[in-house]
Amino acid sequence: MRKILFNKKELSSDQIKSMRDFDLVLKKVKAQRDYWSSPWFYGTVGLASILSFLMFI
Amino acid sequence: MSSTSLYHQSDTRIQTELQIIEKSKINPQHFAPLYDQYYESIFRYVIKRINDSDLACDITSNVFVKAITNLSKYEFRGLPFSSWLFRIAKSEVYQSFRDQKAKRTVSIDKVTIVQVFEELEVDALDEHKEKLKIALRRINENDLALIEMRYFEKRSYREIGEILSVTENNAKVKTFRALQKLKVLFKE
Repeated sequence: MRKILFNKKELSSDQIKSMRDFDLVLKKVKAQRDYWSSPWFYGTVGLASILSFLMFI
Repeated sequence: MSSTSLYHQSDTRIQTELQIIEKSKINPQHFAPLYDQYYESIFRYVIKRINDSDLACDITSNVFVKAITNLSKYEFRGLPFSSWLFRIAKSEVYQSFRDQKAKRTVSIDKVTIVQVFEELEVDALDEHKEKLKIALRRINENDLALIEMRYFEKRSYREIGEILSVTENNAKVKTFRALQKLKVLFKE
């Protein structure tokens, strides 16, 4: 069930600014790019494709 | 702070954003000014819907990760970059509900509630607050999203249309119908 809140105390702009962490964002972006371009990823996908093909023939 | 304060921008500002986006496609570190500019409005959009500051922080971070990762797919349509970020934020928030990480929350401040009661054509009484709570729990998610953006967050129909991927006129029609449904539920 949805929670309905009236007059909830909002965080200040300074509190929100203190939560910013652009370095963490860059790390996550790098980790994602490394994953998609890793030999492990292509190796797993390639092996799965070959096995699927062999199962059909 | 208004949720929409960053939406209406000058052409110069939009062009500057575009230049940053183009540079960020080559090197994500150039994205920092847009991250700083939009962090607060995206965070506020998220926390109003999930009411958990730690999770809101994680989701906001993921919104920017997805934005940077998919920057090559971004198409400029004459509107500020923020509408694209809000679309990603909307998708991430709903994913958190599907993953059962968060509970759907609707946040209404005291100024907004008076205006909502005006739209519903009733006085701002405590008993009406309870009736409004019940109606907001019963209305379907699509209608709630429209009411939330238009009446609780004061977004323009143009921005609502951009976030929901519909035309401005369609956003207006849908919001009007959503309000009619809320009125019916409120009076039941």
